[in-house]
Formats: sequence, C-alpha cells, structure tokens
Amino acid sequence: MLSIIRNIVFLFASLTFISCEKEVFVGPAIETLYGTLNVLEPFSNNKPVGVDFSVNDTVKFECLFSITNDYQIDIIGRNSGAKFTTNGSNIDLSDSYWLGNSEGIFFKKSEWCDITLSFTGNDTLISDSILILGERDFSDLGILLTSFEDPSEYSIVTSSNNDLFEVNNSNSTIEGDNSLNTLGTGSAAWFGAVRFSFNSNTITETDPNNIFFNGFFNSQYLGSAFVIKVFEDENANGIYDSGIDEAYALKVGLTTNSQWNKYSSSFGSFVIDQSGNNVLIDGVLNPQNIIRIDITNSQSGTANGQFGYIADYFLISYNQPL
Amino acid sequence: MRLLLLTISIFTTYLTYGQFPKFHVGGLARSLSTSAHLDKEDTINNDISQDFNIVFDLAIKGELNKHVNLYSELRLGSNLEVFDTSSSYLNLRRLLIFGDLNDYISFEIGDIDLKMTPFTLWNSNEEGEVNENSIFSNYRDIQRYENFNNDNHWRRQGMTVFGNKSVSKNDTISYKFFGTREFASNGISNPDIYIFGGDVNYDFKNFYSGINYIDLFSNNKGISLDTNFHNHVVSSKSALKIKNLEFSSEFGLSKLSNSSTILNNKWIDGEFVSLGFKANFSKNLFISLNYRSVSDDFSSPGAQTKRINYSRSPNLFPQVSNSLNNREVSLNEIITDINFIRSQSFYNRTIDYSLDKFNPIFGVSEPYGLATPNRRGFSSKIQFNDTSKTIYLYGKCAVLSDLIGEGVDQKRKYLSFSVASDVYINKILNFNKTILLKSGYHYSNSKRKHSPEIFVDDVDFNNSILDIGIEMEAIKNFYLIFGYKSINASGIDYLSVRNDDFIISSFDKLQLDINQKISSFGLKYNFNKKSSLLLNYQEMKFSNNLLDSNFKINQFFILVQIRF
Repeated sequence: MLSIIRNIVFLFASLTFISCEKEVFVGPAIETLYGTLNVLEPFSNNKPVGVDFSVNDTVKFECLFSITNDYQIDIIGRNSGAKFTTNGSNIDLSDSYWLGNSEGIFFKKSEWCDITLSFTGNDTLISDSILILGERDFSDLGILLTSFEDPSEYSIVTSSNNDLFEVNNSNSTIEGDNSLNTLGTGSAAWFGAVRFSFNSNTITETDPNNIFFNGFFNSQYLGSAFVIKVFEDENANGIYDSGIDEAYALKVGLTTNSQWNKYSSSFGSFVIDQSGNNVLIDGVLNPQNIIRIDITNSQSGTANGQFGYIADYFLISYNQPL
Repeated sequence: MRLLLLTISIFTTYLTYGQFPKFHVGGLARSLSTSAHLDKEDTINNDISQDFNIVFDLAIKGELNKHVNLYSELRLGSNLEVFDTSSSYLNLRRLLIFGDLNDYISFEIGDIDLKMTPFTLWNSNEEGEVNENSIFSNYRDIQRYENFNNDNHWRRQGMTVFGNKSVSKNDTISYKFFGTREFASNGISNPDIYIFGGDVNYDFKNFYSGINYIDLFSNNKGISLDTNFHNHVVSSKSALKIKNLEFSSEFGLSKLSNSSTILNNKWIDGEFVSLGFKANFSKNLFISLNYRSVSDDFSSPGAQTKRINYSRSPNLFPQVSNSLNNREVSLNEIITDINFIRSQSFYNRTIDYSLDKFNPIFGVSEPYGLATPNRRGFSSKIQFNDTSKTIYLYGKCAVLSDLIGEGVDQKRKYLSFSVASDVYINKILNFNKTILLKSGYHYSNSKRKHSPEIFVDDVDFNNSILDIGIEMEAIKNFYLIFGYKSINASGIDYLSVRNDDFIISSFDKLQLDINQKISSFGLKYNFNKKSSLLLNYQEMKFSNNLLDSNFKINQFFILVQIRF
C-alpha cells in the first residue's frame, strides 16, 4: 500500500512541476499601457532635398519610438497655409506617407512646409521641414476641368448683370498663376458662367453618387453662391436641345470669409432643372450623356447687392471627393 | 404480567418524551462607546464622530426531540448616542434547526457554517494581523463575531446533510452535502444564485483521502437574462501520517462556464496542485513545508472571495484632507470601525463570481490566500512553545513566483515572511502578575525586472506590518495594555484587471508610498473570566507620501463585555 502511495506521490510531484504552464503571457502587453515614450531614432523624411509631387514622388517618414503610441503628423505650407494631417498608432512611422495631397487648398510649388510629430497623451513635439519641388497632379483622380491656365479648356458666358467675369493672373491661386474672377451687381439669379464642353461618354463613371464636382472658391460678398449645371445629350445629336434633353443643377452657397475654401458636391445631389425651356424627360441623370458643365456666379437668394468670387481648380473626381 | 409490561411501557414512553424539550440558554451583552476626532487641519469634513451601541444577544438551544434541535440567537440592540431608546431593535441573528436522523445522517437547516479546503471553500482571515495583543484583538474579535467570521467558515443560508459510517473496523467514510442561496432574484434582471457542494472522505488508519466539489451557479428562470453561469471547482485531497510526519496533497480544477450564445469564452478552465509536509518533532516544535502551483485562470469564488469588501468606504470619516482624499478600508478600519447595522458594514457576506478588490497596502503576494491565481512556489511554517509556556515563537515564509507572466514574459517573484513571539516576562522575572510582551513582523515584496526595450518601470513593491504590544497586570484583574501597529507599503506594481469571464483585460498601475501607525493605550478590568471593562485611547496617523497627504484620528473607546 505504501509503495503504491509513494509511486503516486512521486508521479504526481513530477507532474506538478511542469503543470499549469502556458507559453505566452496573459493580458495585454504592459508596455502598451505603461511604457515610457522615448524617441529612439530622430524624426526625418526620405526627401531631404525636396519632393517633386508632379512626378508622383512620395514622402515617407522615419522615427522609432520606445513603445507603440498614437501619433499625428501635421504638415503646413508656409506660404499657402495648406494643411495635411495623418494619424497612426505604431512603434515607428512605417505606416505613414504623404502624396502631396491636402485637406483644403493645395500646397504650392517651391514652398517650404513645416512638419510636426505629436503624440496622444504626451507633450513630446518633434519638428521637421520639407521643400516641395513640384505640385501633385490630381487630374488622375478623374477629369480636370480647368485650373484656368489653358484658355482652351473653358469658355466664358457673360450676362448683362456681371461687372466682372474674367480669368486673370493673380498671386492668390490654388494652382498655377491664373484664377477666375467674378463680380455681379443687382438682384439677378446669375451673373455669368464659365462653360466646359466635351463629348458624351467623357465621364466614364455611371453612378452619379460616385461623381464629385470639386472646386476652390474665395468670396468676400455676403450671399454669394455658384450654381453647377450639367447638360445631357440624350438624343445623341452632339448638342444640348432645350426642351428635348435634360439639365440638372445644384446651387451652393459660399462661405464669405475672403479665404480659399474647397467645395465638393456629389452629382447624386443634383436636381432636375426646369427653368426656361428646360424640361423633365426621364428624371434620371446619366453621366455618360453629359456634354456640358456650366459654373455660374450666382446668389443664394434674390437680394439686390454685389455677389462674386475668385475660383480655381475645377475637378471632377470619381468615388470620393478631392 | 401484562399489566406490568403495560406500566413499564407507558412509564418508558413518558420517561423518554419527558426529556423534551430541553433548553440551554447563553448570551452576551456588549456595550461599545466610541468617540473619534479628526485632526483640526480638516475644516470641511465633519471632524467628530460619536457612537454608543449596546447589544444583548440571547442564544437558545432547544432539543425539541431526539432528532430535531433548534438553535437561535436573538439580538436586542439600541443606539444610545442620544439615549433614544425608541430606536431599539430586535433581530434574529441566527436560526438553525439541526439534528441526527440516525447514526449516519445528520442535518442542519438555516444559518449554517461551511468550510472545505483553502482551494474550494474557505473564508481567509482579514489582513493586517501578525501577532497583535489584546487591545486590538478585542475589537477584531467583535468584528468577527458581528460578521459571522467563525474560524475560516463562511456563514451561509441553506441546508447541509452530513454523517459518517465505518465500513470496517479501521476506516470511516464521512460525507457532507450542502446547498445555499447566495442572492435572491429581483424578478427582473438579477438571477437567483446558489451554491451546491459537498465532500466525501475516506479515513483508513493513518491514511486519508477525499473529494471536494462546489458549484456556484445562477438560475435565470423568470427574468430577462438569457445566460446562466456555473463555477465548478473539484479537488481531491489525501494525507498520510507516518509517526510524527504527515504528507498531504490536494489537486483540482475549476471550470467557469456560461450558457450565453454571444460570449466567446464559454469555458475557462484552471488548475491547482498543492503538496504538503508536516512534522511534529516534539510537543513543542512544529514545522511544515508546502509547495503549490495555481494557474492564472483558477477561479474558485468560495475560496477567493475576500472577507473585506474593499470597494466600500469606511464608516468613520470616509473623506479627509478637506475632501481631497477618499479613504479606503485600511488597517484601523478593519479592527475598530465596528458597525452593528449589517447593511453598513464593509465586511463581505456574499460569495460572488469575480475576484474581489483587495487593498495592496497589505501586500500583493497572496491577496486571495492559498487560492491566489497565478502563483507557484514554496511556503513553510515553524512553531515553537517552550515547556514552561514562557516563550512562544512562530515563523512563516513563502517564496513564490508567477506561474505565467502578466502583460510581459518575465514573471514576478514574491518573498514574504512573518515572525512572531509571545514572551511572558513575569515568568522570566518570577513575578506573579502577568507581563506579556507580544510582537510580530510581516514583510513581503514583489519584484519583476523588465527588459530595457519596453521602457516600463520595474515591479518593486514592498509591504511591512509591525505588531508590538505589552500587557501588564498592575493589580489583580486590572491590566495596563499598550499596543502599537504600523504598516508601510511602497513601490510599483501592476495589478491585473479581470473581466467577468476571469480573463485579464488590463492592468492598473499601483504606485504607493503609504504609512499608517496606530498607538493604543488601555486599561482593562476583568470582572471575571467572562466579563470585562476596557477603557482605551488610540491615535492613528496616516501619511501618503506621494500625495503629500497626512491626517490623524484620535479615538476613545469604552467597551464592556459580559458573557454568560
């Protein structure tokens, strides 16, 4: 009896010392909760002599932290005031890059940008800078209607109510050297338009909800607005026939803060235009049938006053706004 | 002859039933007057607390017949702070029906006391005591009495059936089964919670073996909750005595389960193993050695539930330092913050699923006793009494480590030890009057060194408790008593935060540098062996060096106790 018990105890004791073991620790990694943030490798980027976004350069950031941390990189153009922000959570910046895009107005060519790296819940702030050698070409996002550098891309339709509707050279542009400058006086609904004409099937995206008009406007006149109007060629005769083809429009009120603001509107929000001789045919906006786009200088209501804006860089983008 | 037999029969029947009912009466009367003063620097909070309670407990044990007995404790109490006797109350403190159905089956129904093993069902002692003298133990005994902490038993409401039977001349099979109700459903969202358990043991000469089982489970019948929980714990225990040596072992597992259709972890299984060795080298010297390994997911509510509910605030001055700091239940409160109203006591009387909060100032080595999850290592005890009973020595130490890293691959290492002594100085000096010096010291630490690559502060947490006191009999039955307690806790550790399913979901960083000192002086007069009067003044100083927070509480007690 004793020998049996002895053997059992021995076997049991042997098992005891190896039992209950697990290979990996339990709970979340403690350094993610209580590690001290230290910057182990300095903050830098891979374009020390400048980045040329016009040839599709990409800025990659480098920095190594002691722990995984939530971080934010802010880039601000010193001249344009353009901003770009990217966030992440990692032990380094291998997930972060910059393609030259911005949250509002564009970064400028030959512009120095300040870059700051900050961390959630930590006062650490690290700075760097970068020179933009060339601006990014966003036309690959869809159709660049114009940046007002090439007069062949647009035409201007004036109204008896517009005091000013012209493209001119300016220091304050979004892209290039030119911008559209408009001003109208009175109580009319529109004060001139800039027109873009092209063949049907130029817009290849079929779902209006996935097509966005993007444009930059700068206005100081209270009540100013622009109307974007698209014209279909439903009978495929190459021209818009009022009363036969359909037109769709959207009026957008402008923020009159005398600063550049970006506006993006989905074609899916456009409504049938039945002003003048325009009629409702099928009530369906078919993007492939669009052969003309007009951007007017307008006003939000019917007040008597001065309305206008400076505008630049009109782009049709697919799937997401600029 | 028939008449004679009839007469004997009737006489015997009357004689038998004439013994019942029998009644035994006992009781206790206690009067406690307390007056506490917070230091004058605190100008916002109420800085004076006075209370005067008197309770009279009458215990009645009645033998209703030879199978059924009744035991009840009635309490008549009153708060005499303003001598408003209309606020007196009458409570039934305990009601127990018990008896023996036959030689092998006994039962108890009502307020029953239950205990199995330190891994299955065990009411571990509250912290903060090493070898305190009577000026503190007087109050600690009252706390235990008021909160039904009898030894390591849990006082539950339910029934138990137990008994034993010998199969052969040298062996005995004993058993116990019980069922209790822990929580009553509110009929809407909270389910009924029950405990069912039992043990079966076999004794054969010097060998002992047994199986323990306990299940804490919910019953959601009639309420909107669609999930039932079970926490099973089963263990096997055995022991073998060879002369003065005893070898013992216990191993078992826990299964925490739920019937939910949406929770991912339906089963959490844990295990433990414990091996023990005891030796009585003589009548005066006792040594034990134990090895145990408890997995991180070993869930045993019956053994891991804390006696103190540390999530509650103390009754005495819950806010201090002009309301800047909320006080936690600490050393002084455990001993002297006595509340006679059950709902206001921070002593825990329920067994529930999740691991209870604990106060780390008492150490982080074994907050849940032997059943503390994720511990492995050795512990040892030694006890010595000299034959003249002049000196008593006690020592205990434990060298443990995490079984598995928590939040990091490295495992904590724990070291704890306690030493205690009673010295009857009067016997050394040949005095007639008692002069008893009691002392005790406990130290524990936890350490874990982290890789420099993770930039996390190392674990290094230390805790110490000092108990020292002297009791001098100045004249016959009149004692001067001085007691001093000190607790220090400092360092850094990361305490695991567990979900309801026992999984560690996070860690709370613990950073402390706390010191608490209690100096107490008292005069005690023993009317007889069962009755005494104690006048006691004590000062408690608390300082939190990290928060630069200090406060002081002065307390005065008058305690009269009469047992009969």
